[in-house]
Amino acid sequence: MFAAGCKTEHKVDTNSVIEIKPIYARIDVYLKVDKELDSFFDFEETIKPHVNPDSNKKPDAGASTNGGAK
Amino acid sequence: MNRRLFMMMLLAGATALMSTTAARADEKSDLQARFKERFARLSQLRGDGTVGETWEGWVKSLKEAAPEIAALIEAENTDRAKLCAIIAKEIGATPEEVGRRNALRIFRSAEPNHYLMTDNGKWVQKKDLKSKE
Repeated sequence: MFAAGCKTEHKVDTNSVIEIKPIYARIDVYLKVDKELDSFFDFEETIKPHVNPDSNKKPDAGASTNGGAK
Repeated sequence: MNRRLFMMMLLAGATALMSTTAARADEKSDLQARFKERFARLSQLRGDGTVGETWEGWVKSLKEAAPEIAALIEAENTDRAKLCAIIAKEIGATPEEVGRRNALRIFRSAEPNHYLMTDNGKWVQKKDLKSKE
């Protein structure tokens, strides 16, 4: 009687279903988007300006994290 | 008669589709020309730390922007939004997804001194950014 009162029972439902299909679909969409963007902006490679490696200037002390448009 | 009507409808549909595709191509071509025009100045501003790129695909100023720079930022972001909408429609993504993919592309090609805003809303130079890739 005492032993039966101390007994606890836990039931874990293991019948979970993992849906993989939509993830593949999104990756496929992202690949297409990347391809489209790379193709659209390919001019950037040809007209990339010379970058000065010493130009690690920090912005002004009053730099805002929310400034500018959008 | 019905067959003739069907053929006419098919032809009208094909013509409409072709004109929409052509209009979209024209719009993309115009957009590309404008991006090209701004690219050198934008690169210069990124290089001197005046503007940075956000993880959502927008260009933003890090400090109070002069009117010329503010106008450039506005024009760039307006065109980015248009491009994102076009590509999203073509591919079946959302404009926000296209914007974020564009941000990744920009982050990858950024120089070490360029400022990038990650999803925590803080500016960080690329050289100090810890990649999750």
